[in-house]
Amino acid sequence: MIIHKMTLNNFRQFRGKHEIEFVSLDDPTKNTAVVYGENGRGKTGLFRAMMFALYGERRLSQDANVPDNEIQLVNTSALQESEGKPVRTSVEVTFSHKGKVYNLYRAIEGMRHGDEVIEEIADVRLNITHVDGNTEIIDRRSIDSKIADVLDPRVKEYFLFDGEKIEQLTRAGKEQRRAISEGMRNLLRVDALDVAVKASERAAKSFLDDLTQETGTAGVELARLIKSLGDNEAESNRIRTRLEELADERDRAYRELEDIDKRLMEFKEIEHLLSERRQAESDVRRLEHDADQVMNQMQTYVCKAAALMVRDTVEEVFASLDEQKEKGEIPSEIRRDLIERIISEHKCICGNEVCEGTSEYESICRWLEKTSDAAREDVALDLWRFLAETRSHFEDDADIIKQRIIEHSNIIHRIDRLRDKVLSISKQIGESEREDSWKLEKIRKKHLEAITSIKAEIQNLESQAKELDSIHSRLTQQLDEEKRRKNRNSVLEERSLLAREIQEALAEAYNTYTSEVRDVIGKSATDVFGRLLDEEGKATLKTIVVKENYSLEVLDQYGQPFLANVSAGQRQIMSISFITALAMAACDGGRIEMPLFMDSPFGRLSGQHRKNIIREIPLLTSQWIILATDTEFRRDEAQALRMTGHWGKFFMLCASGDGNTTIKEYSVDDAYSILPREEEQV
Amino acid sequence: MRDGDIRVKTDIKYRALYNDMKKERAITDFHDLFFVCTCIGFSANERNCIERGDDRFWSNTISPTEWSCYYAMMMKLNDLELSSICDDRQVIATMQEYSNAGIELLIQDFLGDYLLPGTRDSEPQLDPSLAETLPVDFLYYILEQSEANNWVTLHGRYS
Repeated sequence: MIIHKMTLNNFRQFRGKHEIEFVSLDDPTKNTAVVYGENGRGKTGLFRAMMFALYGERRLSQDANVPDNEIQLVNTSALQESEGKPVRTSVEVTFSHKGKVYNLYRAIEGMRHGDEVIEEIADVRLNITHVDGNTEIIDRRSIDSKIADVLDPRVKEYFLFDGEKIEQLTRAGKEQRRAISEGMRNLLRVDALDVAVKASERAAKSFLDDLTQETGTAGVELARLIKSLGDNEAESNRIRTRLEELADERDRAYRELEDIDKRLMEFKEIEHLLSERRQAESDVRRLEHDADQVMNQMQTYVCKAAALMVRDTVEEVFASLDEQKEKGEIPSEIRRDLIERIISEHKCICGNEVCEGTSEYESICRWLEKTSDAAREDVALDLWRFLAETRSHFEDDADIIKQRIIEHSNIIHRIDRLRDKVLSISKQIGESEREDSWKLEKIRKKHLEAITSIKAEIQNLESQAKELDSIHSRLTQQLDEEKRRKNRNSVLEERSLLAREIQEALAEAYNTYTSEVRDVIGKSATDVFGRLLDEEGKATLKTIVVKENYSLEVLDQYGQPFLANVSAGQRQIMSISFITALAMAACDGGRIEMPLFMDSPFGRLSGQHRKNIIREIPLLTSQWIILATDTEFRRDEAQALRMTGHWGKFFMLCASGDGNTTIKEYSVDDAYSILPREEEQV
Repeated sequence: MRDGDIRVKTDIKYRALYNDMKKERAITDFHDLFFVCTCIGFSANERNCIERGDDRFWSNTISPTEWSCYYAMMMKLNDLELSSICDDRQVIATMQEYSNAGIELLIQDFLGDYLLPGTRDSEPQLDPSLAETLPVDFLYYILEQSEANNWVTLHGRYS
């Protein structure tokens, strides 16, 4: 998709008719257009116009907290002059996609009614000019699906996005994870597989119901096992979903706690107390983690400690075996089988005959009594070795176990002391004379209680999930045994088993595919990330990972999670890298055949990050439209963009004096001289 | 070569307790608890036949140290006679009886305080709300059983 032209008529700040031609007709390789304007001039208005034209949407994601009646698309001056008559506002977009040219027109009419402005969709038209030159007029009811074929509305925010908001993708909330998961599913067209998995689940359930109702005792066990497995999986999924919800709730509570702490920090008289409490709470968390680690180690010492209970027995048996070894009884000097052969053959190894009744014969018989059989000797020697090994650790084991118990006890003492300290500080803060301070403190306490209860529920659910997993593997084993044991003679049994196998196979295929896709997108995002990051970032931030729950993580040079420490600018770079990787995956890993329409993409970025983005994005996408403010697009950025050879268009949004905006186009060369230098802004 | 194909049994009424002990991180696996109970039963010189045997784990999960101790206990019972440890099934069968007595002693002396009310005489189950410090308390209890000199009394928490 390439956006050629957008025509606005009485839309937001744009009074009358305005045209923007994004594509450079004389050089199509110049795929980058910049729309430049100060804050309030209408950059986001243009972004809104594009969303309105393509999808009829009046709201952007950033309007979440704005009431409907405050979002107005019709130009205010035009409304004032209309003296109660309706004003028509329209956006017309011309774009090409796969050889066809689309001309899309959408209009609304607005009218002032007292203090309120009423807006209604007035018209929508779409013409498609095909490769052969014929133009098709699309029926109004089919327009949305035709546009969705070009750019699915569910993924539009990956191509048309607000740079200030995009970094939120890296916040691991439920909404962000859902957005990432849906984005991946939709862009990669795995919806069909998803439908197949769900259909197979329904089929398996239906066959199972039939089997349960119609079979006699023969299929009862099979039906029971399949049903138990299904119930187990459903319960596991329920627990996993709840665990994700709880993790979100916990994170939200922590964020709110942080906000409260920030607000409390504004009260200077209690600043020192807050700082002390923050330190103590952080120490408690660290120590709780340490205590948990030590507690986890405890179970590995259980057998070593128990062996100490039978230490005397071990020592006694070892002493006995050791004595026999010392005496040469194990292993015996001469093997029992050799002596037995001499006696039965009446012939010594030297060739002399050994006759019964002789003194030689009697001596050999006495040797035989002293020896054991070879197997028993092996057992004795093995046991001697193992007991030697076991007893050699007794002293060390006892010392280590004692140390661990004392270590744990010390940590618990320190945690108790710190908790007392936190309580005492909280009491002092709560007793502060400032009413707003103690109110915040009360809310804070509630959040802390909520976090404790969430943590307990998480722990409980995690252990339930673990238990369900172990029941699942046992049931699976039983089902396999049941399958082997019976010759299936019932069609229903066969169908039920087959449906279950299909369900399992599809679920596995789905999981494998999505896991591979996550991996591919993670690698691709890491590659783009490396190209966009500045040198300092590159030294620390190494890998972007799309986790199993579809949240994003960044790993440092040691492979450790680092997301909590990255700056807002780095988060923005990370989000852009992820979106770019997603779009590349949707285009089979090649160049992105969609425009990237970015509103204020540079706001939070350092100079080096801006330059890297400017250098790389035109190479990755078919079209890049930047809506930038005077503070984020200066001569430095313009120079960098000019160097790429991809910059084709420059528009400036200018105030026209009556609260409206006009759009002026300049050549790229002229643009450079118009733009402010960095020092001029300072 | 030890026999790894033996299904080691415990009484069925301890199934939940074995699961709970693992869930609450007091043991890494079932063979740990079996070993602890065997040592307790053996030290107290008490053994009980299992009334309703229930397969608990495979003998291939038993560690070399545990095997060594089982053999040592078996030889001690049989006047240090080596022939007593030649049949692993016989060794395990004997240890099952000690373990069965040992788990009762364990409940009586220690785990009783951690059980859900009313479960002790039927099918003992841990009360998760009491099990927070179970791993360390359990280890301490075992160590206490193995040492006459009560070294930990010096320490505040356990004084």
